[in-house]
Amino acid sequence: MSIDKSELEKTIVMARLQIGSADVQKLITDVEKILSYAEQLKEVDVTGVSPTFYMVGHELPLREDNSLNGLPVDSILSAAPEKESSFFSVPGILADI
Amino acid sequence: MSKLQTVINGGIDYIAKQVRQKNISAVEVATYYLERIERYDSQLGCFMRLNPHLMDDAKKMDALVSSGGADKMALCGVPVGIKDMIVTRDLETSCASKILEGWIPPYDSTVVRKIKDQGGLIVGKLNMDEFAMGSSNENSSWGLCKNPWDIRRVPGGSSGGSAAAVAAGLCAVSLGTDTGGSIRQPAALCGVVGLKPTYGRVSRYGAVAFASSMDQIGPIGKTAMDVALMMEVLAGHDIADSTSLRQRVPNYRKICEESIEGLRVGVPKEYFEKGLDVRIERLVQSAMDILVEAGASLVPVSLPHTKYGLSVYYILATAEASSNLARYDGVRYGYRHTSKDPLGLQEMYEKTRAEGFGDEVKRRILLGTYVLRSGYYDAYFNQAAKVRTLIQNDFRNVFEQCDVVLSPTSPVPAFKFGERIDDPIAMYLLDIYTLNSNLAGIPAISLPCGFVEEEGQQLPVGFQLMAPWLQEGLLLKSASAYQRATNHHLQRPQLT
Repeated sequence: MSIDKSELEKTIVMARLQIGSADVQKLITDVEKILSYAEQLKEVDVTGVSPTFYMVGHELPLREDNSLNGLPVDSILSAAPEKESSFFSVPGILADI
Repeated sequence: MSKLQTVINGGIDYIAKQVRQKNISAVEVATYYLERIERYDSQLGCFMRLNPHLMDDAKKMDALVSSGGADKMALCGVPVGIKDMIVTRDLETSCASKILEGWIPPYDSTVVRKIKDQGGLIVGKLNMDEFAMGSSNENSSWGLCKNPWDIRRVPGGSSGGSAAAVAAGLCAVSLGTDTGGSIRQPAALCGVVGLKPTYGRVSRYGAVAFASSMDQIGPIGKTAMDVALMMEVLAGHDIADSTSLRQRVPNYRKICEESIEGLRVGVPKEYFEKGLDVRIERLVQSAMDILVEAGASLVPVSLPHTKYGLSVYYILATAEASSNLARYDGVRYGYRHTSKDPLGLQEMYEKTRAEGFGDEVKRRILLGTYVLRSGYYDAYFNQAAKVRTLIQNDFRNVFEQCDVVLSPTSPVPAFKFGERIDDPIAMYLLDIYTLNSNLAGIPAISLPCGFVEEEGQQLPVGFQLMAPWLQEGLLLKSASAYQRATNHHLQRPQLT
């Protein structure tokens, strides 16, 4: 099956990736190959079959409402590439005010 | 043979017993493995990094033994290697990815905590394909891991380091993770035993997520008995993993001693079709004969949806991965793109991920994002999820006719570096016999059943047994009976 290059480029943006223009064609070929292989699934009759998304039952057992120790904030923040006081720091998303 | 070597050869239960009884010290055992790592691992590339505190931990264990505090520790002084996909407190965990390089977790995964609680010693972190995506260990950002039987060949993957390290005697036992065969396929290619437990049997807390509905942690060891002891330590419900099952953990070692008289072994015709190396087919046939001699009977069975497994797997697993790997955004941990020019948030995300992820990971994220897009969701994702139900039903039906299902683990023995890396389908086909059990959530084990010769080198071959949900005992019992009757698992590679 063939894939529209612009559709794949849209997907690259959705996946928050950047792919160099030289690699895009190779990637399109690979993804096309895999999806063509997966075309075989269309021949399977799935009338009346429910999809399986989870491997265990859907019950959500409640536990006792006891407080547990979480991880100290410092230990979490120490792994952050950039931080400011007790916050993760990211590039600004609003224009200067 | 030295006393130490006799203890090491005795298996992990015996090592722990000898350390508990002070016939040998944890320090002596740890030194034995560290010396081997120093001697052989610069060539093999199994360990990405060692636990710098191993010797201190061993000394502490000996002190605990002396004070009588280790009497009940099942893994007392046993050196365990951990796949880098599994979180270890204060020891870098990178999933062999640049995007997590340098991440020092502030907590232990449940499995690592359980190993430590039972006196096990963490040797270090084992090489793997980046985020467990691969079947040859060639996708590691850290570097290649080589097969100890022939260093020109791959160890399999994604838990390549975990299997190669056990085969080469660089640790007594190891942990791997298995999403589509990542424990069993490298175990087969390296001549060791690898078990993928039932989905939910072992806690996934602290296992970095790839495809959450398929991932399982499991042990790799030299014998079924070693793997049985590890399962007694690892299995059980965990409050930190809501998908872990509330089921009693049996005494697997005791089950290993039971006879397999009357065991019905299903042989699915779909697992012996084209693509399977005839030499492997012959060895798997002789494994069946051995089981029959031990009292089992063979039952021809059919799993008609087997051939769709690969497509289902690569749609569902990549979809789940695209969502799970969204967390690597350069904000909370790991790699972040830095630039002198001010960047917007979106651009920071994109550059971080473009530079941090390897090609295979990008390919899978992209494929997963694509099949989840509205407009494609029904055609791909939903259809695959329905066929997954049919694959599960196949197993449910077959297990009414037999107790376990037997098949090859891998269609080919260890292959050379670079042979398949350029063709994703050729690489994905290596998991053709293993991934259906992940789709169904059932347990499966791979164990050695002989060797084939390639260019003058002996390469190990494995066969696989699959069992109904929570019947790991049946797998271990069958594997033990097989290993009592054979000596393939006792063969070791000649290291230089």
